[in-house]
Amino acid sequence: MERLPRTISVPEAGRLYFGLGRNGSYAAARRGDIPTIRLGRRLRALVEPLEEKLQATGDKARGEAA
Amino acid sequence: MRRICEGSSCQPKSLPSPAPSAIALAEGLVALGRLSDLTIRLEAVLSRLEAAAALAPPPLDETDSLAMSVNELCRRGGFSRSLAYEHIKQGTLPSVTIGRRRLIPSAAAREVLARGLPEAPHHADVRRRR
Repeated sequence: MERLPRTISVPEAGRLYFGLGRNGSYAAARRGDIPTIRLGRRLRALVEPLEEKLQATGDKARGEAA
Repeated sequence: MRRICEGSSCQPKSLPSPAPSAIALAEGLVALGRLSDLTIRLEAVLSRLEAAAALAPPPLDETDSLAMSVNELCRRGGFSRSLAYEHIKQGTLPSVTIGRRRLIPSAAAREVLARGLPEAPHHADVRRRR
């Protein structure tokens, strides 16, 4: 079995990954900067896409963005 | 009257005027006092310096975020923001844009801080753009 938590709360994700506050985190989630999944009313941030986002190298990130 | 306050230990009135050695002793005591004042002040300065050092950016492992702002990276690395942005533009420094903020993933930031910025063959570009 893989490591368990694949989602974390949006404020946690914002703080951990990008140093954002609570409101900034939700704003980022709304913009799509923090990938999320909604379960009922609950909004959760997806860990793996966040990791990938940070691991993308400069060239790769630029290539994807272009 | 005058004589009472002359030395650190007041002389009884019956004694003749203080011997020159006593005056020298008093002066020595005053000088000593000034010296200790100075050391106290120095200590204060030192402790303030230490406090400032404690306020300085903590080692990387203690920062809570997995990404670092360009400003912070430049402050720690001692290079200019424009150089950092130039590297980002050239693709030699990875970055993530969150809203308006551009962040450097801390893995990359750590590497830059440990080994310096990657080889910069783009200085010509920097100059041309100015």
